[in-house]
Amino acid sequence: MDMSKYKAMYLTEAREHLQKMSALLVSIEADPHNRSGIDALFREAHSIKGMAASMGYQQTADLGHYLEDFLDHFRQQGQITSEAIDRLLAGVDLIESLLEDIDAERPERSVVGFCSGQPAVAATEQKEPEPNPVADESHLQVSLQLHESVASPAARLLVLIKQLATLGKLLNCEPSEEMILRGGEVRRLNAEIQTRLEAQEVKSCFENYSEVSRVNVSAPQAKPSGNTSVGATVRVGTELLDRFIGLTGELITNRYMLQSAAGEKDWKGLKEGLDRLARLVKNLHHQVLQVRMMPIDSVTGRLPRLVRDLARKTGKEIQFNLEGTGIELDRAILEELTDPLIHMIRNAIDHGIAKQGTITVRAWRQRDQVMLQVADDGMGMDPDALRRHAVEKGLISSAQAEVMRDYDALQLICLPGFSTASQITDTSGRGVGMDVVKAAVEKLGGVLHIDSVPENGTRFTLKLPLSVAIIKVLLVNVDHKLVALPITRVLQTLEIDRNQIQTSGKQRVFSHNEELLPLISLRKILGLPIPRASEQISVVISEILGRKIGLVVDGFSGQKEVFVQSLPHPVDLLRGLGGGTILGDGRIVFILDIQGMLEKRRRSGE
Amino acid sequence: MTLLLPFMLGEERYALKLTEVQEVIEDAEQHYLPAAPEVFLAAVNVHGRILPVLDLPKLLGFPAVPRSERMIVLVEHDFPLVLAVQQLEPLLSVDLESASLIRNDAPNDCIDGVLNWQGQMISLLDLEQLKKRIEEECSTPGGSHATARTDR
Repeated sequence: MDMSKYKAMYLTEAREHLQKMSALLVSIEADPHNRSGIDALFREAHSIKGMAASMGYQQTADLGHYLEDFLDHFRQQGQITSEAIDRLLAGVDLIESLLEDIDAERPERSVVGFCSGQPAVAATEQKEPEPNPVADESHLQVSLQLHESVASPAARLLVLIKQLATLGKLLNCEPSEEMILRGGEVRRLNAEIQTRLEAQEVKSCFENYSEVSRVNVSAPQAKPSGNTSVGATVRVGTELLDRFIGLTGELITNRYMLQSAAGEKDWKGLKEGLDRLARLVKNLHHQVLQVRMMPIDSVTGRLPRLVRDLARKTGKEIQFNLEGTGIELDRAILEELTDPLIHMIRNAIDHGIAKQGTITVRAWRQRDQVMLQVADDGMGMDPDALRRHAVEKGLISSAQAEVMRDYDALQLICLPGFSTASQITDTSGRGVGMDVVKAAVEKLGGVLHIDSVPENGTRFTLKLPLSVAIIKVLLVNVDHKLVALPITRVLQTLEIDRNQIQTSGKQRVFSHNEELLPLISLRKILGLPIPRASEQISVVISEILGRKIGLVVDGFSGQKEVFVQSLPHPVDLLRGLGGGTILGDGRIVFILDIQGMLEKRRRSGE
Repeated sequence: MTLLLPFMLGEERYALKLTEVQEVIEDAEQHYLPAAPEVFLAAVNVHGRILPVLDLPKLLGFPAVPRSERMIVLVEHDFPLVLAVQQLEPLLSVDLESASLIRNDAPNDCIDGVLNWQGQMISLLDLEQLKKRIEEECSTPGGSHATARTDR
């Protein structure tokens, strides 16, 4: 039986079990007499063992079995030692490495050493995938090119494929034998083989063939880490599937109604049918989006372990709380949140908390948005120190620093090139962080707020849309064209009088709530012609890199909920475009990422 | 035999293999594509999918030629893109095995080779190179041309 199609499912489920094990271990560590926790841990190890065995992943199954045995001892005692917890966590790490091996199509690494009681350190060291897996066989990428003059290249290629298969196990081949047999223009062959031979040996095998003009043998490019390469899988409740089937049935009935009404030229029937169709489609749409929703737990689940390890490494005493883990978000958003969350927690441990303290990650719904907060009760940040630092780094002028409010000064830590850490630590690196966090949040259409009180902790609050597929936008006119801005980026829209505009150096500014905001013309950003300013000017107030700006547009065309299409590669590389949408009347409108566009302009030296 | 879809750019005849073409669209309504390099003319709606329109004459250095109302949609899964060209020509059936094809080794002109077909020179477009060129255009800030268009 071909198990490969179940691999992705296995990996997803096994990772979920591992995450639960980590979380359980961390909580048991704080309460070693937690008998039901130890029981739950035992069941998780048992599940992993069973799944791995049925997939034929022997090393993983052996390790699962070992952990189960190991736990059984403590289960009988009803308590566990902290040494045992360290060992179990190392075991969890080792399973994680085994999953990585399986994901990358490498043979599983051996667990014999671990199970025979070698120090747990060995397992964690192995975690980084090694360039050459410790195995007799390695994977090689072979590409062959036939001479132009070769007659019947297809037949030649088939011979070469046969030859490749004698050297080792042929893993894949482009074009495949079937494709070659079907005919067509082929003079090039790319294949991957698993073999005991060295690259040079494989190469020399083919250099003897006169029809081959070029041979290239290399180690395959490392797959990007993580499980992004595999098509992600979701588990869907049968109840939801039943609703889909019900809806499909209704849609089919609806189609017959419409067909017969059209046949009889029954306009009233057609109208009713269309109304019904509109309702069904809306319902279907809602249900489909539901499939994409996942509890936030799927990313916060790994945090307790992270905090424990970091606390131990830095010698700090940290209490970690998770609240609102049942809140659901679009899986695409959740996937993008993992790194920012880890980063904020590292920051809190490294720079926020001096010796001991509490970190709380909480999520809650606020109307149609989800709030996610990372809070610590540590030292907090001093706005004056941040202002001084930003001026020293040349990020803002001292005049700007003087008028800057405390809240805005806190947001300065998100400027690229800003780092307050006086030394580089193992935990949070070189301070390349908060700008990346902010960019990631904004890419999702969210907003990052930072507030902090010296001596009283720091809070990072993320305001996120429920879904990336459907967002609310503000449609604006510019040079007789329509573009859209995500509503989460719009703080306010207003009309100002031309005489309210002042100039400060080269920059046009206007006063808004006793604050001078720079005016930036959307036409200028888009490279469109700029006419003489009219008496009334439409302005969108937005926040860019922690600073409020007024974006000048020609006019507003209302708000709309739109379904966002991502752009095809390579157009998705363009900075400043956040996808497109087709309006009801067929018009295509693009969603602008103002910050991305301004950064692009700055970099191209304008 | 291989079917080719030839098209004109200035005085030169180019061609794509028909297997690389999904369809030819006519009179598609062109929509404003903001913040894109100049080699993109617009965006069009092809069966509900938003696709960018590449100004092939401009990219290959024929800025002054007129653009046809008919545009070429490339096969979606490889390279979803619409190409604007000067003028499409009737399909050609060519035996590429026996035709005299001069391979092109110049790295950057997006031509795979030049085919001598009944005395006509036809340049075969190299989509891989074209893709690389567009990737470069899209990842350089502002593109290697100017930042944005002023018309359309």
